[in-house]
Amino acid sequence: MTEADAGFLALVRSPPGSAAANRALEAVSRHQREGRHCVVFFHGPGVDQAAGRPAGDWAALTDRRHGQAGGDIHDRFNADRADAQREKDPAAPPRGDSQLLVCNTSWRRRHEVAPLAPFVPTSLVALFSALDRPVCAQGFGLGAAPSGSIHGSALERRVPERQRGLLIEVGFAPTGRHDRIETLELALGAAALELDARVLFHGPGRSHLEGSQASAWRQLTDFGFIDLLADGSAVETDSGARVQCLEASEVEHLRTQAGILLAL
Amino acid sequence: MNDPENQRARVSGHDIDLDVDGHLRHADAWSEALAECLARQDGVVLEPLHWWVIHFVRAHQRDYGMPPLMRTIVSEMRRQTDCDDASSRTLYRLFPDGPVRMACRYAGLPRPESCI
Repeated sequence: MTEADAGFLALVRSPPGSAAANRALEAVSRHQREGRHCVVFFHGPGVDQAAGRPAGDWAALTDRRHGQAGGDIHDRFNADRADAQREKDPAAPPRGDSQLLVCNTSWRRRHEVAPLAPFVPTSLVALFSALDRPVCAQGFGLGAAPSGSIHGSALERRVPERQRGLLIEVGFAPTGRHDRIETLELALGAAALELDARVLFHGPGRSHLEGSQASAWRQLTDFGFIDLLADGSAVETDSGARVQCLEASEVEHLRTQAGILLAL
Repeated sequence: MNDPENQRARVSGHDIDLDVDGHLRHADAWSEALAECLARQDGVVLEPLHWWVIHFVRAHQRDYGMPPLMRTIVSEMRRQTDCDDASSRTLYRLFPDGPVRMACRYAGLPRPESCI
């Protein structure tokens, strides 16, 4: 398995019109041009990308491959390579196209009618299933960049194999009325599927552990499902959850060791 | 004609308001008699293990503000009960139309929002 064989997974949690949303569209378009199969999972405020004008920009990606006959030589090379790969392995996912998946729960909180094709309403299980395949995973969310990130609110990490551990980074304070629960739901999804996962709160993200609704995080540590970690000194938490505080060097080590890093 | 917006359950001579999904509108109207009434409508006879799940779900909602994951129910069922085949399959045998959602309904809690 080479890097070129890996697919690309974009977790899009940023609302339409944001810089992160624009970067997401550019990144998926670039990976698709390079012949990769792309899975885009819209979650939280990101589901609004599947409505109105942004939806058209994303939908255009799903049929770009059909227009590749007239594309440049690089596009044609990748399309040919994808066809050859499918001949060798018919079960391999189609290359050079995109699946647009929308978190059904996030969507229903904001919209009354289902998203239109090519957007597919689905559950968080689809997100974590996509992580089972070799992918480059990148988050385009609300959080501040972890140090060392080259993509602002995102961090890219190739995932060559399963069971290397998922690190979910929460670097933003909850803003909208659904932020708290939707951030927690990502961690609960990982717990429900018994993934080897940790949640790291850093900077303003530590405020997810404050306030009356913070107690919901405690279920993750009370039942031993997921470790909760925070950068810096002791967390003033209302959650009652056991939160392990890390020095800066420990945070960097954690990021280095993670198989999959999703910056929300 | 049935009005889905105004469902009711009749318990001990009193009408109890339910929401469009058949869940209790007012949590303080819950009683074990209501749970039995709702289960009977679904063709489910509540046995001791059903009751353990229902009370566990209510306690989890009280402690964490949301219903438990199915994984949580299974692991605590193994730990807290003498059920020797606690598993998601056992939960589906008890609550065939979705264990967490059905248990929440009988427990007087809102329909779970989350897809997990």
